[in-house]
Amino acid sequence: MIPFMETITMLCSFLFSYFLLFVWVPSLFIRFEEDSSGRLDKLFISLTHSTLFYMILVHLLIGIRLLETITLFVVTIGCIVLLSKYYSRSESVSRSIKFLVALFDLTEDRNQWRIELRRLIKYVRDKSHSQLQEGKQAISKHPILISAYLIVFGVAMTDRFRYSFTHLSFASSDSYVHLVWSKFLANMTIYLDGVYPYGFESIIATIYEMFSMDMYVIVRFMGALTTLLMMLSLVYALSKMIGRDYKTILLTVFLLFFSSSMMIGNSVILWRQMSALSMEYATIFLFPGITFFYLFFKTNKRSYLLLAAECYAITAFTHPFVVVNLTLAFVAVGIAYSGKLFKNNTWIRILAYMGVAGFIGILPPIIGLLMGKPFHGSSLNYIKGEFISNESIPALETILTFANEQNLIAFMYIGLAFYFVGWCIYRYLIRNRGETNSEQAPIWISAIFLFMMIIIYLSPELGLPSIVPVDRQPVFLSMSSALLFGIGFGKLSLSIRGEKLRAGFQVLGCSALILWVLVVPGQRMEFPLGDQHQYDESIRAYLDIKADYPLKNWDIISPVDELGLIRGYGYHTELWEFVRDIEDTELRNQEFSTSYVFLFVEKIPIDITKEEIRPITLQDAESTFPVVTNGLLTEFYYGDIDNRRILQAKAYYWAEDYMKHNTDMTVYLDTPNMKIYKIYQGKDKVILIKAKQVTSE
Amino acid sequence: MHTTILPTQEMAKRPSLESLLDEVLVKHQNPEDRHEIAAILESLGWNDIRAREIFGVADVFELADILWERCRSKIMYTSFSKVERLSFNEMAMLLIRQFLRGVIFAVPMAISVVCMLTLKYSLWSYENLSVELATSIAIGTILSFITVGGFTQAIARRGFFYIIQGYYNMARRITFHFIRLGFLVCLIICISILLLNLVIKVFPIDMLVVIILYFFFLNTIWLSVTVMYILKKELLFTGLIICGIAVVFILFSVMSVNIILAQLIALSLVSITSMILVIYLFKKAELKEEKGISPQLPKMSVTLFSTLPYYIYGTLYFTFLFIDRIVAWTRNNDFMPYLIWFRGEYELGLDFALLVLILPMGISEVVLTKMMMDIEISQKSYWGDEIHIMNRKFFTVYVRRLSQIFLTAVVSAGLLYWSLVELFAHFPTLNSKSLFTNSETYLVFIVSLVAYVLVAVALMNAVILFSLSQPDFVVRAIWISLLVNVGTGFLLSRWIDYHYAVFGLLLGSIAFLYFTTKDVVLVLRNLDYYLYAAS
Repeated sequence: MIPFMETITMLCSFLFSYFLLFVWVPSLFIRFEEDSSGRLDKLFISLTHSTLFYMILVHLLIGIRLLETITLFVVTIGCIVLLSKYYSRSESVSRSIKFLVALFDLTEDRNQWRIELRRLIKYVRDKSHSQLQEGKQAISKHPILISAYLIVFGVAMTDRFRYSFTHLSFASSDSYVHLVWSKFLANMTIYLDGVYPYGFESIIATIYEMFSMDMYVIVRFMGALTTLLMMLSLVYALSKMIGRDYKTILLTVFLLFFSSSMMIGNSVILWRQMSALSMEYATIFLFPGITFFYLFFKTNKRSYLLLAAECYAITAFTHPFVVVNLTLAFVAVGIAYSGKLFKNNTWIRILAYMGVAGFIGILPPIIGLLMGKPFHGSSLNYIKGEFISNESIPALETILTFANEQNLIAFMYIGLAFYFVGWCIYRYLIRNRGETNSEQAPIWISAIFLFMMIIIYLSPELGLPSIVPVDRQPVFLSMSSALLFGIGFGKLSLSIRGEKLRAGFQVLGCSALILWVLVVPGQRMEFPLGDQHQYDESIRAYLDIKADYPLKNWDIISPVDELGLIRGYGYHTELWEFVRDIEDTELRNQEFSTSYVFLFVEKIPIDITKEEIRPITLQDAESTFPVVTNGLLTEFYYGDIDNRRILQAKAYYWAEDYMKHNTDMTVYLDTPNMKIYKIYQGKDKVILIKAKQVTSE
Repeated sequence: MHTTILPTQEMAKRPSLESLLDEVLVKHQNPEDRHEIAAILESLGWNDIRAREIFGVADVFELADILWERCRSKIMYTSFSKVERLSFNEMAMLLIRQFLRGVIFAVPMAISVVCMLTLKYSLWSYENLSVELATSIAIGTILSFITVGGFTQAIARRGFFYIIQGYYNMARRITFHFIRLGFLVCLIICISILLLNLVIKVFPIDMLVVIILYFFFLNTIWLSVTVMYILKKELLFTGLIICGIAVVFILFSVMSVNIILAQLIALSLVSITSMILVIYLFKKAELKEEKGISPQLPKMSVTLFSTLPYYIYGTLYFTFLFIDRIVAWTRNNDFMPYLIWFRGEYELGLDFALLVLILPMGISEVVLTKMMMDIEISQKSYWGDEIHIMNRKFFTVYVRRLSQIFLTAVVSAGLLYWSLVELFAHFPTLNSKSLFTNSETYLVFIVSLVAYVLVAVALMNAVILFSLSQPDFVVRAIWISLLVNVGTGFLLSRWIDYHYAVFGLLLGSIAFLYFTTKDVVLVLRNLDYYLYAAS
C-alpha cells in the first residue's frame, strides 16, 4: 500500500531540494565570520538568510503579480550574481573574463580538457578522502559519543518520520489547510480564507515553484524535517553558549525529544512535531535568534544583530506566537546584558533593527487588512477563545502546583537560586564587580527566558492577560526548560575542577538521566496516533491517477479533502454536489469536461471523532439527501458523520447500479475501506446518463 | 656648393625616388610617419653619406621627409585601377540567383505549413497531439534552434571564408569542428536536462524522452542544413524534408504507426542522410581544390575568439525569435501542471505570420548583394579627399534599399494576409481556420506579422553590418532587443493575458530595427573608416 522505495524517493527528493535551496546554495555565496564558520553556523546562518529572502521575495512577487518559477529563478540568480560581484569587487579581472580565458585555454590543446577533468576528479577525491579520514579519526576517538548521537537522532527522527512512512495521509487537519493555502499562494492568491501570516506557505510555495515538486510531498515530510531542524537549533544554541560539551548537548536533546518531563507531559507537542505546521516552522528560528542576539552582545559584531533581526522578521512573517516568545527571549538577553545594553546607544540600534524586522514581517498582513480582507476567521475565534480567561487562582498556589507537576523545572530553579546567591556573594562581596560576563550570561538568559515562559503558561490561572494560548505555550515552555537545563548542566560540569572528575560526572549524570527516562515507566512520551481525514487508499489512488493519466484531463468526485491535493493536476467535484445531482430527477445528464472521471466512495466513512466507525448500508443510501441550512457546507456534509455516511452510501449504490447497465464504468480500486470507480467515454468528455433512465429506455 | 659627380655606371644604377619608395613600402605598406621611413631606409642600408651622394640631401632624415610626402601623395592620388563591371545579363542572373537562394531557404518552412494544412502533420508537428506531447515537441524544436543557432552562424562565417578562397579542405575541417562542437553542446544539454530534471521535476520521463529525441535529431538536421547552405545546395534540404514527410505519411497514414514514432523514424532518417550527404558534398567539393595545398588551421582559440560574436549573435537571434512563445506558454493561467504548457492558439498565429519573411529574405539577398557590390566597385572610384562624397552616396543608397526592403515586407504581409483570407474562405474545412475566428490567435497573427516585417528590415541592417565585419554592433542590438522582447512580453503576458507576450516580440523588433538602423547609419557616415577596418 505504501511502497517504501517510493516514500524514500519522495523524502530524499524533498530533503535534497530543501537543503539545496535554503542551505547549500546560499552557503556557497555567503561570507561567514571567522568565528562562525562551523557546519551548524553555516546551516543556520544560510537558513536564516535564505528563508527571509524567499519569504520577502514571494510576498513581493505576489504584490506585483509575478510569482512563478521563472521570476524566482531570475531573482535568485540575479542576487547571486550581484552578491558575487560585491564580494569580488576588489578583484582586477572579472569572473566572466576569467571563465572566457579558461575556455579559450581549454580549446588550445585537444587533451587540455582531459587534464582539467583529471585535476577536478583528483581534487574531489582528495577532499572526500580527507573528510573521510577526519570522520574515521573522530569515530575512533569518540566511538561511544558518536554512536549515542546517531542513536538519539536516529530514534527521534524515526519517531517523527514514522507517521509519514506508515501513512499517506497527513497527521493533522491543519496540514490540509496549509496545503491549500500554499497552492493558492503559488497561484498568486493570498489570504484565501482571510488574513493570516503566510511565511510558512511562502516556503512551501517556493519549493513547489522552484523544484516543480508536488506540494503533497512537501507537506507530508515538512513536519518531521521541522523537528530535525528544531533539534539542531538546540544543539547550535547550546554549542554557542556552553562550548563543545557534546555530552551535555546530547543529554539535553535526548531529554527534550524523549522525556515527558521536558515535554511538560503534553503529548500534543509530539503530535505537532509530526505535522507540517507554521508555528513549529517558525520555532526553528527561536534558538538561533536567541543565539545570534547573545553573540551580538558577546562580540559586538553587527552581523549577529542583523541575523537576530532576520530571525525576528521570519517569525513575524510566520507565526505571532513565536514572535511573542522570541521578543521575550530578546528581552531576557537584554536583561542579562543590561550593562552593555545602555552603553553607546546599543538599545536604540537594537530597537531600530528589531523594529524594521518586525515591520517587514507584519507588513503583508497589514496590507491585506488595509485592502479590506478580513482576518482569518478560525484563528480569530481561536485566539478570542483562548485569550479570555475567567478563572483566577492565587499566584502562590498556582506556582506551587506548577512546581509540583513540573519537577525538573522546579529542581532547576532551586539550583539556580543557590547559584544566584553564590554568584552575588562572589561578585559583589568578594570581587566587587556587578557586570555580567559572557560566561554567566547564558545562565541568566535561559533562566529569565524560562521564567517568562512559565508566567505566560500560567497567565490564565494567575489572572494575567494571556498572550499565547495555553495549549501552544508548552511547546515553548519545553524548549526553554531544555535550554536552561543544557546550559545549567554544562556550566555545572565546567565548574568541576579536574578533567577526569568532570568526565566522570558527565558520564554518570548523562547515563543516570537517560536510564531514568528509558526505564522509569511514564517518563518516555508515547506517540499519539494522529488525526485521520482521508484513507491512505485515497491518496494512493490520487498519486497513481496523477502518474498514469494525462494531467488536467481527469476529474475526481470525492469529499473536500482531496481538493487540495488535486488542484493543479486535475479537477475535483464535490461529492455532495455529485450526489445532489444524481438525486435530482429534473437533471438528465451529468457532464464532465474531462476524458476520465473517478468516483471515490468510502465503504466505511471516516469519522474524525472515531466514535462511529461502521460500513455504509442500503438504508443509509435510502435516507433523505441532507440539505444544509447554515454553517460551512463542507463541515455539514463531511464533518457530520451521519451526512457523510448518507452521501457515501448514495454514491456507492448509484455507482453499483450504473455499472450494471453501462460498460464505460470500471472499478479502479477496491479495498475494505474504499471503492474507486473509473469512467472513460472517449477523448473529449464524460457524460453520465442516469442509470435508471438508461434501463427504462 | 659641392656636388658629387657619379660615374656613368653608377648613374645607371642610381635608384629613383619612386623605386626607393616602392622598396620602402614593400617593407611596410603603411608607414606611420617619417621616422619609420627613416628607420626602414637605414635597415635597407642607407646612411647619410649615401643619401647625400645619390639624392643630394643632407641626411637620411631629409630623404625620409621627401619619401613621406611622396608616400602621402601616393595615397591621396593613386590612380584608379579599372574595375570590371558586370554586364546587365550577368548582373541579372546573379541577382535572380541570390533571390532564389534567399527564398529557397524558406521553402521547407512553406512545405511544412502546406503539409500541416492538408495532412495535419509535417516532419515534426501534428495537429491532434495531446498538450503534453505538443509541449515536448515545441520545447525540443525551440531548444534545437537556440542551441544550433550560434553554430550555424559560426559555420557560415568561417566555412564561407575558406570556401570563397577555394580552401575546401580547411572549410571542411573547420565546419566539422563546429559540427562536433555542436554535437558536444547538444550532448551536454541533453545530459544537463536529464540531471536537472532529477532535481527539478519539470517534466515526467516520457515527455523528457520526446524532448531530447526531437531536440537531438533536429539539431543534426539544422547543422547539416547549414553545410548545405554554404555549399549552395539548399534544394537538397527541401528534397530531404519532402522525403521525411513522405516517410511520416507512409508510416502514420498508411501503416498506422504512432505519429511520434513515425516522426522520430523520419527525423532520424533525414538527419542521418543529411549528415552523410554533407560529408559526401564536402569530399566532392574538395576535389575542386588545388592539390598539395593543405595549410594548417589557425589556433582554435583564435578561431573561436574571432567567431564568438557570430556565435553569440546566432544564439541570441534564435532566442529572440522564439522567446515570446516560451514567455507565453509559461504564463500560469490556472494551476498549470508543468512549467511550460503549450498553447496552440498562440503557435498558430506566429507560424502563419512567419511566412511573411520568405519574400523579404529573397529580396534582401538581392538588395544586399547589389549594394555590397556597388560599395566594392565604387570605393575605388573616389579620391582620398572625396570620402565624404562616397559616404553620403552610400548613405543615400542605403536609405533607398531600406525603403525597398520595407516596402517588400509590407507588400509581403499584405499578400500573406489576403492569401490566407482567400484560402480559408475557399477551403472552410481547413483545420487552421481558427486563425481568423479565434480572437487570441488573430491578435497574435496581426501583431507578429507587423513584428516580422520589422525583423525583415532589421535583418538587412544586420547583414550589412556583418558584411562590413561589424558583428559587435549587431550583437549589442540583438541583445538589447532580446531584453526588450523578454521584459515587456513577460510583464504584459503576466499582467494582462498570456498572448500579450506577442507585444514583447513587437517591441523587441522595433528595438532591433532602431538599433541596427542607428548602427548602420553610424557605419555609413564613416564608411571609409569601416571599409579600411574591414579590409
